[in-house]
Amino acid sequence: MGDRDALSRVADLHYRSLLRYGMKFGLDEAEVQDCIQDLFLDLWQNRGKVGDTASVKNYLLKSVRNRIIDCIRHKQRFGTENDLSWQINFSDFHTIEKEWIEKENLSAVGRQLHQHMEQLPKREKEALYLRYYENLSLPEIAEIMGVNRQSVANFLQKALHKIRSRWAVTLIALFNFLSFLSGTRV
Amino acid sequence: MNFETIQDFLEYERFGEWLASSDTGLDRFWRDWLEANEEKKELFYNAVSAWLLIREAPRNWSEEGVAARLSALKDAIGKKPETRSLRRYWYYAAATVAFFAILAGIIGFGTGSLFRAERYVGRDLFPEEWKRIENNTGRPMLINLPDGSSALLSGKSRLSFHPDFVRHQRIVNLYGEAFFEVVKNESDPFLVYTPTLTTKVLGTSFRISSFGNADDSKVTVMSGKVEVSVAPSSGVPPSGQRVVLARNEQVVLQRHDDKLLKSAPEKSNRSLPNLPYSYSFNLKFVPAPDIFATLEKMYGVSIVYDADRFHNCTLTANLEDMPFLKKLELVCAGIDADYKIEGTVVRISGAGCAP
Repeated sequence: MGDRDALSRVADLHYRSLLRYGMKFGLDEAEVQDCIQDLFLDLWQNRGKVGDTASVKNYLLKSVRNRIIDCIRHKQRFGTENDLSWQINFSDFHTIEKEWIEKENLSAVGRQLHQHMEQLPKREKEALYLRYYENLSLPEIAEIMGVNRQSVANFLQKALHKIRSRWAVTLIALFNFLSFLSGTRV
Repeated sequence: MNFETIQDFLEYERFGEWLASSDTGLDRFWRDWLEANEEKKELFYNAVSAWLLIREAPRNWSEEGVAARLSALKDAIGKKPETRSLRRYWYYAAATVAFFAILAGIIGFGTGSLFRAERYVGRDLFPEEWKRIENNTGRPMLINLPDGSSALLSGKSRLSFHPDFVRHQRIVNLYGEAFFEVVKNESDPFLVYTPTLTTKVLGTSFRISSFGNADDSKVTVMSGKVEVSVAPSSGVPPSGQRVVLARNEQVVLQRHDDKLLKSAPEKSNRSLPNLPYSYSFNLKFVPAPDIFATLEKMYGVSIVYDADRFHNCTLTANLEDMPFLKKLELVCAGIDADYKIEGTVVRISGAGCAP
């Protein structure tokens, strides 16, 4: 990251990921953008010092997270990492084009699923997000969240176990088994 | 591949790939798999749901706003490193991104030397046709501005605004000290001019202390975001200094060198004991009489109501940073009452609440 163009490219590449991640913590968009901006300007001022970071994205996510904790601490005066929330946005599954999912049922059942998801502890939700949305490895997630690798594995396992046990009943309504299984879609 | 848990599916590349694409080969793959693994159908659908939920829609943001911020950021990256304290200023000057002005409180603080602004005569704060209000009562005076914003004007202070405030532009000229709570309006910024500082509401709520000409001027943000710039003055060329302040941040304009310096707000030195430093309007099951008492203290009004009827009413609501009228309106809506304002007296009427 030695020069201006390189850092600009990094910003281009990761800005939206950082914003999406940052906004999960319940700050508003402008505040998160301030955090990201400060982060990049610090990187620019101290250029050279982060040159050998193995995973740039990982480093950025971790730095944004730390800045958000600072920001929340600032706002609440005595806030700690425990005050971090994790916001789940209701998904309308609009990106899903699978014909075998009955879309009419989705919004109703989806709302229920959303509530279940919200009940998960925030760190489990964050770990799920980093693992399956950002596609990060366990060691990377551990570094970002500042916990050890085993904890991350536990977060994921527990969360997915709860997903399975709580959702089993509601889910059946979601899917159009027949059309999918009988192969009407070629 | 043996799938025993949801995680096994999520970790398997072809699973996410299949859900994210319309690859018929992958469709066939999973259909075949399901036929061969009937007993794992439920697990499979759980995994699909988990994937869908984890891939939830991102919270909406304005792509234009993000692109503007990103592009301003990239411009900023090219600049020479500057000192940290000034960094945000030029950035904000470069990024013409509209922030959402929601509600704001401002205090402009003067030393009482109202008429010694010789050095700062860049603008006439009190044009003839503007509505002028001067407070010589020694107590703060509540002023409801035409747009619904409120100002608590301190003693020995005055302010002015255009009679057609809303259509003209939301500009308030202040000499002395006041606390403002500003009504949200994204397209119409709220500006407060003092002889030395100009303050523009960008975010939610904040407080400004702008001392007179003889002393340092100061802006303290309670929450949200404001932009402060040095007012044009006759003797000093415009420095173009701009500061964006967020919650619990403060900037001081030093008289001797006209530099804006960021610092932490001091908690002591509350020159205005009646200003709402300590009142919380984040109400949780608060009895109506208590709310009325707080409003009376904070805004210096008298609230007249039937104590028998209203003592059972409670309210849970967050009225922080709202202008007086808005607070009153919401409190009354919450307890099903009406209000009427006669000067500094507010009369509450209504059926009240059953015990």
